Amino acid sequence: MSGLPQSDGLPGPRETSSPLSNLLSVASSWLTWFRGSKLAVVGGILVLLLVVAGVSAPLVSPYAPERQDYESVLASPSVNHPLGADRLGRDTLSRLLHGARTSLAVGVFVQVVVLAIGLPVGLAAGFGSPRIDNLIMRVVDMVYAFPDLLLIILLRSIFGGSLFTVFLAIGLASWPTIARLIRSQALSIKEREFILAAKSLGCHPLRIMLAHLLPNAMSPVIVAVVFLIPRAIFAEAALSYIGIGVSPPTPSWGTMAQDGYGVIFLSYEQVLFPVLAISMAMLAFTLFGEGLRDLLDPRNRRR
Amino acid sequence: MATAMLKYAAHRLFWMFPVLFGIGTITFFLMHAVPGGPWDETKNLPPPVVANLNHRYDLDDPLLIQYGKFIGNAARGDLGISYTFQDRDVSQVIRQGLPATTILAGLAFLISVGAGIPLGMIAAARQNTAVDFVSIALATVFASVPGFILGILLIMIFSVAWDLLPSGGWGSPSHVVLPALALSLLPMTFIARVTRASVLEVLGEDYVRTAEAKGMPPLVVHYRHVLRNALVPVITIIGAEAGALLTGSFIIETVFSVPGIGRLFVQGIMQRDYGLITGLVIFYATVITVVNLITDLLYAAVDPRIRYS
Amino acid sequence: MVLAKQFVAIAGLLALVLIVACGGDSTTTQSPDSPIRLNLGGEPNTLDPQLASSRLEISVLRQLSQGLLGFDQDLNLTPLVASAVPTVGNGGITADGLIYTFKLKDGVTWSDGQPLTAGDFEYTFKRILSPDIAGPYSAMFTAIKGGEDYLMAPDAEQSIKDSLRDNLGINAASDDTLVITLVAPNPTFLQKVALVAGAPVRQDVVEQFGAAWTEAGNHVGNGPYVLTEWVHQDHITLEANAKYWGQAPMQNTIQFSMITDVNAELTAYKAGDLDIAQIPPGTESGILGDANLSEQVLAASQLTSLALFLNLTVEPFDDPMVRRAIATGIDRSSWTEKVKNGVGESATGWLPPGLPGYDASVGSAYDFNASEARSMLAEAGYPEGEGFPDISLTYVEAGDQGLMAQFLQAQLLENLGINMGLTPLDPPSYGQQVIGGRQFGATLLAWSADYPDPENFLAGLFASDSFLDITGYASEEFDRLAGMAAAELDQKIRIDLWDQAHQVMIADAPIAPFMFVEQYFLMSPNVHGLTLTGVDGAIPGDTRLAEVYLSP
Repeated sequence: MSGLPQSDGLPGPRETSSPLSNLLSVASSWLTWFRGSKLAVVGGILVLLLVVAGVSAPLVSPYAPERQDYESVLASPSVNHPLGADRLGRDTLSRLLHGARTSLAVGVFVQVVVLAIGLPVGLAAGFGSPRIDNLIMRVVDMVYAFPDLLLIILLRSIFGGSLFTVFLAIGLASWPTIARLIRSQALSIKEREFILAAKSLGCHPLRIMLAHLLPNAMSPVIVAVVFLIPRAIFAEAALSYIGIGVSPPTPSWGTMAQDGYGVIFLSYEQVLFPVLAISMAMLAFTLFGEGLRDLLDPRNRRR
Repeated sequence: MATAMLKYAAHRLFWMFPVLFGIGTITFFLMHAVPGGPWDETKNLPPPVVANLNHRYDLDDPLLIQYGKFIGNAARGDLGISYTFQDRDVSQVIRQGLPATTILAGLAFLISVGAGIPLGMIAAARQNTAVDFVSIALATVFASVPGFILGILLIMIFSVAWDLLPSGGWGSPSHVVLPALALSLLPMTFIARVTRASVLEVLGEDYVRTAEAKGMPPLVVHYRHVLRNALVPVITIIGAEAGALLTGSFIIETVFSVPGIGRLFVQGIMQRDYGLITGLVIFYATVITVVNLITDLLYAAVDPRIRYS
Repeated sequence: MVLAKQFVAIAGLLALVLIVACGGDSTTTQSPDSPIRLNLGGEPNTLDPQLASSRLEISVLRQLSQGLLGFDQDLNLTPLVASAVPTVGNGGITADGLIYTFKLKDGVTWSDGQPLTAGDFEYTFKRILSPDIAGPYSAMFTAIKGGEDYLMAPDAEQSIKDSLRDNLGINAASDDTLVITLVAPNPTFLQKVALVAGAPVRQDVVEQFGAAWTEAGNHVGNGPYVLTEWVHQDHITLEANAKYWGQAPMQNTIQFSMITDVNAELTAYKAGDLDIAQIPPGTESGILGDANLSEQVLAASQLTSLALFLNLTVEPFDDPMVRRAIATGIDRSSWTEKVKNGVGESATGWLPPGLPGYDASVGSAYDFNASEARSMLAEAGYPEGEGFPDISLTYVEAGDQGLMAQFLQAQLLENLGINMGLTPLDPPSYGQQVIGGRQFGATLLAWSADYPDPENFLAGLFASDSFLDITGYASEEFDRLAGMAAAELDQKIRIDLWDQAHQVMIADAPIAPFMFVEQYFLMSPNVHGLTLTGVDGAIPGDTRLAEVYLSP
């Protein structure tokens, strides 16, 4: 009863159909399922738009993002520069489009690291024995208090300041909240009737966890993960000042907002547009997350 | 029940010591592994001065001896001297920064919880209505506008344009309002969104629907079943945010010139103030262990199904 | 924008005319009880003169303590506690330049009323050199007899330290006469005496309170103001020193806040909470375009030079032709005029304007010329940047340096075809790798005067035996000239020697000079009597803040 499309509800491969029509029918059934949530569709389209903007940046940008034009320093929006230009006369629109690459990658891959650590740790603590729970959570306590910035500087000196270091560094610093959240959900759910029933039927604990707990407990986790996205985007910008992540002049939304802050009183556009871009990403992932939750929730489909 | 709780709390408090020892040890060695020391700056000091400083701070001892001294002193509650603020020791520096951070965190906490939970409840009760979308819009804005920009906007409105509140600094109740507001907006919307998500989830549970079907008044259903059971993830997030608030906010403290410990920590790391870093990490670990203990006790209080042995 | 700069100059001139015009005018009333509200930009790490080094610490300490000597507006030495600047002519310095005799003014007292004696200065100068204090400026005083031995003896037993200390060439011959003996002539010795590190501290106060002697309530100084409040990380309050032996300060109170965020500093000024505030770098044109605020602009040049330092020990910067190509291939005026809107000045030399020995013509060979730069680079074997080794520009993201690094990167690519990477670092990593370890290709470095002398800009950074020889520059000719200058007692000849050394260095191009830094402030119209000097710390005009007064 997981939230994923059930095999019995799907048109199965039939001997008579061609592979193409087979594929089409699978795709259309998935689409029908997906359209079940309007939010997921709107969110999905927004996310897709951002991704397309990032991917097609070299094609659609009016200028190269690092091209400096000293006659356009802090230019206001105009025909030549639809969103204005920064302190080195670089076109803001072009930088935003290219910045989508770094910022979306950071926003998403950090969450991958967070979930990759937070999910198993939270589940193990929540479903494990009290002794295991205690040991794991004391480690989590330590990670909470850990001086991340020091670790990140050390990582830079060992691995260099690649974008991968950024995913790893911000992810390593952000997973404890998610782990605690998942643990708390597990603690509260593991004594419920349906879990106890499944156990008495001899289901493997791991199967119980994945099949029942995740779809039943993911809402707050999805919300928390989405909130971590802008935090990760800003953390990337802060780290780029000490040489970790994409090195300048490659743009990212976070560094654009950060740099723009210095001249906010002269040209508010310098922070307005990158912040709008980050807001848009946040909104897209919020809606997408909401929709995803609706889809994953088995109860919604019973209604 | 109560005695079991107490036993559990005592057990957890005992575990604080290995946690503090562990994090102190990790931080100590991490600190010395990181490139650059406390005297490395953009304008370096002459070699004899560096030698004298190392001697004065015992940095010319072998690392393990330094570690032994650090653990010995820390066990006695002596966190050592600050390398940056040469006239004060670390516990003094932390004590001086603590009142501001605590007051600021306290008020921000009250605002974010006091406004966040009701906002989340309303949004859940009126799912997919204007209220619900407003909660999404607020969350989007407050999460996407960086703290420094939010701070400066508040100063421009309340201090420069309307002249209602001081532009920064510390010392009177009016100084607390703007930074506390700036600090609380993001956690507030975060708590609201998590509350909404949890409430909606619990509303979908069978027993709630059963209770409703049995004709129990909605308010009773909401209080007895929905709110209490929905609170577990909310408490988790509140705990995490309380920990984050109490350890100080570098950005808000910087923009509003609040003399708190958030600035000290970043400054300590950026200047490799070994004493200040270890002192603050140990302090943070203490705060976080206690906050997490309270969180765990609250789980059991709101959700009787959660039990600790 | 040249226009903006001219505008400031005209505004400044107008202000000057107004000040002169108001000189005898009694209508400019004063309100002595309003505090002068200034922003330090951060918490002082210490208020111990022998330990202080940052510009904000210096700005506070100049109000609390006064040493034997100071600097006037033209950066000449001027007596403070000393009755006169010692010279060979007035018998204050022996002809061999080894023995300095300072006569103290009569009636100089500490803020608690006790007389200030030569014995206090003996204690102070011995304290500077103490290996246990480890003051940042201690190494500048090793010319004093016995100084080096004492400073280098941190591990010695106490009795040995005591005897080294007693044998230092620092003696109070009487209550009003201090005699300092050097091991070798040191023509800039008096400038070092005039540093804040030379401000007196009182032995009994230091011994009574230990490190906490600098806290309000414990602190005893001899400056125009006394420390009445130091709320850490928040603010410092100074009150006029009732026992001050010089001209009493015009205002009774100074309040220093510690706002680190430049935008918050500006909003505090706009909200009326500060009397002087820094203009966020890069936004000057907006302020200058504002009819109201533009009249409040204060431009301060700071004896600060900024250049691209090249690592001469790695390819391709071991080739002087490559270095000259880079120095010639940077269009500095695009930066100063377009990006910075005329704040700061393009530089082709290293000694900043206002410093003795400054010569605007030095380095004129490096005036921007893209085609010449390209042909030099081709001559060095890298036509159009082809085959140029991978190099990176390392810097610390502070102020405009990140932006500047990106500008320089674009310049080298456009004008020379050189692809240069960028590596921002946190300050301690930078200190260890770049300054201490010479692990870099190119780096951006700003240098401010500790004391206003070419020696301070050249000897440490470019002499082949210096610990601060960041670039690895080693020139026999430069070392020879620097060595002669270091021992030359005739000021004119000495400055001339440094001028020659400067030219030798610039011709070898271990650095590509970039700009002379300037900082713009806003000053409230009711602040009067501010005097800017090239050695000001974080607060403009901090050397003579006691003369500043506020009109209501």
